[in-house]
Amino acid sequence: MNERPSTARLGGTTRAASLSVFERFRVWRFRHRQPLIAYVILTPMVLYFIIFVWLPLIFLFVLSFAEWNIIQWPPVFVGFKNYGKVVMDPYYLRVILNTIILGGAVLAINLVVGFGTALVLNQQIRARGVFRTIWYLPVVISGAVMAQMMVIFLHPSESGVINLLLKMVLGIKPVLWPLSTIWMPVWVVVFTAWRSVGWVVTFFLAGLQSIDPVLYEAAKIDGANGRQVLWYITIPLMVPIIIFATVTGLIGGLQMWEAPLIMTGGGPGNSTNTMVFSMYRDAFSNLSVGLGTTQAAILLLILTIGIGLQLSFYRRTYE
Amino acid sequence: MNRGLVGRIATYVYLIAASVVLLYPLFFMLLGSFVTLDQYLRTKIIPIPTTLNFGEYDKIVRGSLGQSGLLQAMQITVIRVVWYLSLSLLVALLGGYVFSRLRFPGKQFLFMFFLSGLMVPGILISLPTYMVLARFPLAGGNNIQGVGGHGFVNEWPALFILGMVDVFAMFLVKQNYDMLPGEYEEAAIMDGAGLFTIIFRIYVPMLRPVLTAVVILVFIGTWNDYFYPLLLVAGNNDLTPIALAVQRMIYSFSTRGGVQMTPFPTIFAAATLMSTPPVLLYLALQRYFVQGLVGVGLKG
Repeated sequence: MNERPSTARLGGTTRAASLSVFERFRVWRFRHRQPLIAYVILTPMVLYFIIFVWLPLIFLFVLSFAEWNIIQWPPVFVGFKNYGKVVMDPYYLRVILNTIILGGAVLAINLVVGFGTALVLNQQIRARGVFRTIWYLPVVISGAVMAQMMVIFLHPSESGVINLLLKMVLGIKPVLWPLSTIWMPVWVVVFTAWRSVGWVVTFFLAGLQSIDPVLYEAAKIDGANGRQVLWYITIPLMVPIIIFATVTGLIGGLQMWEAPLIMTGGGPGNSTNTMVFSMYRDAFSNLSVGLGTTQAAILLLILTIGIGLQLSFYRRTYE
Repeated sequence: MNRGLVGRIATYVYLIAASVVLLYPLFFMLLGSFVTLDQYLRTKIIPIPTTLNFGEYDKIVRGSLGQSGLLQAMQITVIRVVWYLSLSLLVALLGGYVFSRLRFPGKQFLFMFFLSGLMVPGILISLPTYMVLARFPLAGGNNIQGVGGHGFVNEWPALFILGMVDVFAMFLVKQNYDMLPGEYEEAAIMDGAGLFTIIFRIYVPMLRPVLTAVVILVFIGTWNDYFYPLLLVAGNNDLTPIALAVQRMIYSFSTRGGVQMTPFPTIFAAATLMSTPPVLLYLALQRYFVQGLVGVGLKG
């Protein structure tokens, strides 16, 4: 850095022609400093991304037109056979329906409870920090381990924790939870919401805190009541964040897998079988990677449509 | 006045009731790890240890249960956490800087290139990712065309090679770079500071809240990582990370036989042990957490 082009120091000519190749390279390098740094940093990241994100994404669609049993290579091309099966077979239609209902229920609970709780926690109340921490704690702990714990909590005998509580509080006999096609989906939703709602609360809180307090003061001076402030200031300003939370919540909710994989095994009678779980089971238990990837491809399509609809709704309303 | 008081009381009733629901399983787990099996089977509502009994933790740590695998699992998990923490912080700082501060041709395109990767859920591309790793050329007995061996499946690189570019962290940090003034950097460039000096001396102190948020997210994500290890290293017991190890342990105990045969306190101790590090980290750093997330989705 401290050596300057020698010609300049000697007071000689500073025409470009008199600079050496090395000096001209340094001038060029300084002039193009920003693109150079950018490309040096981004090139390895782009290559990595192509291999581990875009290549698998392409293979996802390639594999969905093929059959592969993991062991024999290469996969065999089968055309639209996998899609035909997933779209026609009542088993897979049930799985798709489950995914939408269970994921939608979790999303709805998370958005309503999350937004309400964030509003409450954004006020001046006692022990605010403690409550915020409590809401986030279930997110911090391993979902796989907690799902396995739920199996113990839902033990059908009297020593199952939930049964114990019901006996203490309501005095009813032990319920055979794992066999109930009505209750197990409910528990799957409850567990997944329990586990993820803290994330939504934190997210909305961050959004609420980024609203300029001056707006609230101005509203107060103008004599607006609490409901008006909520309706005319808070909610309109939160719309981008609500959209973002809905999109990420939809992506997360439709990919629900912890509870089906670990808690219920998709049962009883397919009532909690979701697409990601079914994908995993088709690939690694039934050794049919083609069918698994087909479901993943269809889920990706559903997600894309869902996100697209939300964004176009957002644009139509606010632009 | 009266109405305000009612609202206030309702608020606290709601928050306390919700806290009980949210915390009940966690306290059940914690308290249940300190009681004996006899005491546990007589539990009403929640196990209450009369003495602090660390026997279950002792069984796990010393391995008298044949579960010493948990310590090895913890070691592997710690190595993974260190690896992914350093990598994602570096990627987020450098990538965020590039996209926030530098002007170069193709910037918009490259930004969308990475951002759309964020929209591709990792779990949906898990099967083709499995295929890419299993057929990786020249790995695990594969030839140059990726045929013949098992690739990275059940090998240690499988635990370290995925998710090296954390786009979400990069996006988060980029948004925070955008909110910082550029004058410090210009002054530093005048003084001849290089790229790393600028990033680590000037920006890192200013970005501390968002970097803390990244640390929390990456630590928790890696510590609890379950699905990909299940796919990739389930066949190699020496490589099992902690979440998979504990879940398997609980599963094997809870299917062993009747209620009387299930060692509930041991199960709770293992689950508590594995949940403690992320909880402690979160409690220690949570002050910055919400602060660090402010700005997400605002200018997305």
